[in-house]
Amino acid sequence: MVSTGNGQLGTVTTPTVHEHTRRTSRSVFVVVPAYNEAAVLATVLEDLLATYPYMDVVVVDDGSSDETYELTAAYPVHLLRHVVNLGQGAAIKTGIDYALAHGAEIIVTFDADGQMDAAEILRLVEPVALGECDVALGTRFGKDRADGMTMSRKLLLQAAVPFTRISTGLPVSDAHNGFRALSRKAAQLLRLTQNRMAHASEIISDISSAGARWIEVPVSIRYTAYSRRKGQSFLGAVDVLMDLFGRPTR
Amino acid sequence: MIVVFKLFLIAALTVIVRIYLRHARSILRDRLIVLILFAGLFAAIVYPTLTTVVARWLGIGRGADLASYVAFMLIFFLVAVLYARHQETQRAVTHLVREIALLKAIQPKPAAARTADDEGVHNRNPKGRVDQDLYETTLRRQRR
Repeated sequence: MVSTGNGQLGTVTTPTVHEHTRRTSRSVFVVVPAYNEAAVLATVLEDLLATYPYMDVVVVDDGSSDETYELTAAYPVHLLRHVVNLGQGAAIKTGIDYALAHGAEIIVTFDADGQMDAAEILRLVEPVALGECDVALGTRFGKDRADGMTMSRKLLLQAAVPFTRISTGLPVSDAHNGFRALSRKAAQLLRLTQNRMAHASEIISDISSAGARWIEVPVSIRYTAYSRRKGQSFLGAVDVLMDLFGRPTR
Repeated sequence: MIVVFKLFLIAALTVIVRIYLRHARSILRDRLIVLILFAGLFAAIVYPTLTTVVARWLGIGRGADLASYVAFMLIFFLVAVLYARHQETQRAVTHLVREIALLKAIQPKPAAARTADDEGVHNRNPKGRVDQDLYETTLRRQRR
């Protein structure tokens, strides 16, 4: 984790890209869905704000029962609260709706549990900002970058890939990665009816049916004891399948 | 062969229920289907021999088998309908919760302004209170 508390800037990938993003003054919104993340959210937000002071951070507290909301209020971020817990997909949708209403041109989805590296946001934003694609999806299987991933998780995620490929027709290498950047146009065409975890497949399916231009960008996901505890269990896959089976028609 | 056929029947039933829930659903039809299934059950209670007649006619054999099949289908259908209703409620709740979240959103100073006057992240409001004047100015600016 990048140290930021003392006013130092976080690890900057390429200053030129920073400059580019700043100069083109594309309005970038980072949507952070958070459910009971008080333990790590401060670090994540400090990291984000220090690395990208020119981006808008939108935190959607998804009905947390801990101090997530109060804690976030101390930071210069947009703060929204679901009065009851709806699920990650719903929180992302609320954040995206908000960002679109506030003129976002590029929207990044970023997890609140400290698994993702803020410095890598630019790698996803850059191709979208340059107009090379409408959607940049993070993938954990780019260059063996998912540190600390357990074998069972790896197998489960790999098993989800052919399922997503068949059901959506998009040859992605990582079906359920929450790290992505969307152009305004792409964000507008997402339906996001899935409140819970199945939204990840739904996003890919929407990209596919809309014929949006997409690329995959290798990202590093840190698996810590905390994130593993917070993350999805094997049974989560059953929930995802059930949610997808019962989804409404367009 | 029988296993294959049964699998086919299960798949067909699943598809029919799904098509019904997605495309042909209405409260009136839900009620009609439940009514017809219940009518069948009552008929079977009043005239137990009727089930055997119908079962023979369908090639099932015993009337009790037919009754259990019908009961199974009724339960299956009720579960599916309840699930669909639950999803509708869930969608309504989501909509409400989202509207409240958007209405009560707390806004920081616009990011561009933060960078421009070099306040950045190091000069954030320690108490986390919203600058009401700024909030209203921003709102007014956006409305324009």
